[in-house]
Amino acid sequence: MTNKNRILQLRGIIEGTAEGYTLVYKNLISFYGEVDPSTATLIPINKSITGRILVIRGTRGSTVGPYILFSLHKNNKAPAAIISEHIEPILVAGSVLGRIPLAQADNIDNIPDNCYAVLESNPPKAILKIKECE
Amino acid sequence: MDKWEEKALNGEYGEATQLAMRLIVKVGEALGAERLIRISHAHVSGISYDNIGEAGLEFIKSLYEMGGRTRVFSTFNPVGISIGVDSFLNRDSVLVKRQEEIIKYLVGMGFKFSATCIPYMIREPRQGEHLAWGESSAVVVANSVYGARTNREGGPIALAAALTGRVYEWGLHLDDNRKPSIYVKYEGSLLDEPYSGLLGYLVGLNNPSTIPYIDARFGSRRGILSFAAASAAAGNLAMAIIRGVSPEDKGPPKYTEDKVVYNFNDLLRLKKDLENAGTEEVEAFFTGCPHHSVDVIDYLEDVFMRMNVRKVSKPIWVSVPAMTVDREVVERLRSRNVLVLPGTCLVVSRMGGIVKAIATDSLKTVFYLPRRHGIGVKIMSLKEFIEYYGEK
Repeated sequence: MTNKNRILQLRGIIEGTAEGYTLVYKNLISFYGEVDPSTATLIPINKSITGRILVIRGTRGSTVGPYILFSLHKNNKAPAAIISEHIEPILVAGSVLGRIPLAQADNIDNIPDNCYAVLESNPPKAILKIKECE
Repeated sequence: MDKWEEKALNGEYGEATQLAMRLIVKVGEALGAERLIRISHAHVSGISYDNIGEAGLEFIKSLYEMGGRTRVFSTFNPVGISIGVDSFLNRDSVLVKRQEEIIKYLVGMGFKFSATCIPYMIREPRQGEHLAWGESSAVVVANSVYGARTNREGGPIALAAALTGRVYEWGLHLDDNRKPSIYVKYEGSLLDEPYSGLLGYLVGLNNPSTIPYIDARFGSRRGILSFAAASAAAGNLAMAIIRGVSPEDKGPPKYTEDKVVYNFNDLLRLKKDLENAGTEEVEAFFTGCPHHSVDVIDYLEDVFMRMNVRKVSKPIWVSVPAMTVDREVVERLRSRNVLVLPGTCLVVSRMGGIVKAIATDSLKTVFYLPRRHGIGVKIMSLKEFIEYYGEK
């Protein structure tokens, strides 16, 4: 199955349109502790989340997370958008403060890694258009 | 929305209240909440300067300068420096100054000078009461031990809730969302720190976004607090029904297919996986994540006396809330090489370059220190450490 030009239906949580390469991390993430706020590095895999459509299983850990997303936004290092299977208030608050479009997917295993994509989040709907894969 | 809430949103109670209300309404709407509810206690996380940086400081400052004032009883989390006791955490004068500034804004807005992650020791929540708490470990304790109701609120939302006295009615505020869906049994003897934390770590890691029924025997209240903290660090646990402890315990879920059984070997296996330093390599022992109550000082002195140990050759660091600790006691403990750290902890402070490896009984610390500061960890109990490094 080719990933190119696929369209996935998601649930929109926080509105906005964003484009960028997907970064799929199939784990839970604690933005505080697992993302370096000065470099935007996702520490467990040592990759920057700046400008990426960050795809995660969900959030965990610290409730300080929203401040990390807020700091990334202030430093122009925020991800372009976030797609998550599990939605927690911490993630929603972080997306609001960091002005990051947020959508929920039933299963992130359907989303390919490292593909150029466009997310259009218009709650309660959202679509992810996969354009080009590396 | 009631009249007050509408007026707040329209800015009639000032800019800070309006901004706080907008934030709560926006997040509530995104989650699908239908209305707001009144809370009786807000507890904010995200106030350590080392964690939130300039952006966070500016956010808190702006609310203070816009005239934000707490509308309910409000407390705040540990800060990045030790309060009232000089320590290695207070060496950076810029950090100290910025941290004191954040505290000034919080106290200026009406927060109680608490600097602790155990707000339930300052004001015990009542069953059924609505709260808006940040601090992931305290959220689990509020829901599971007290039967009070709070979601895992992010720091800024808890702050907005403090300034409005409201939060969205969603998640654990609703009866239907407070029932356990999986059954977790621990087959083994009484659980205490650090083993209760290891169980919490496993449960949190393996069961995201669920309420587990925990059938385990805890050896102490401390054991439960340690379980709670670990489960909310390695995972996103917000509530568990703990057999014989939780006020909402109605027995294990009857129709669940999901049953998990853990035994002591599972804990030992995880312990081995998580440890990346040996006993000889560690440079200090850290305890008090979550904070110990001040009773720990008596406990420590008892342990030293009973084990007939005069002092330890490597330091023990103990985190407690920012309340008056008797100077004489602090000095006496210092002579035993025990340093009391009021109002802070290693998880929220700047640790880079201070030590390469520590021993700890806190699994929450084991989760954060290697990730955030690249520090090696060894898991052991306080008694084991004193036994190993004690001098007669």
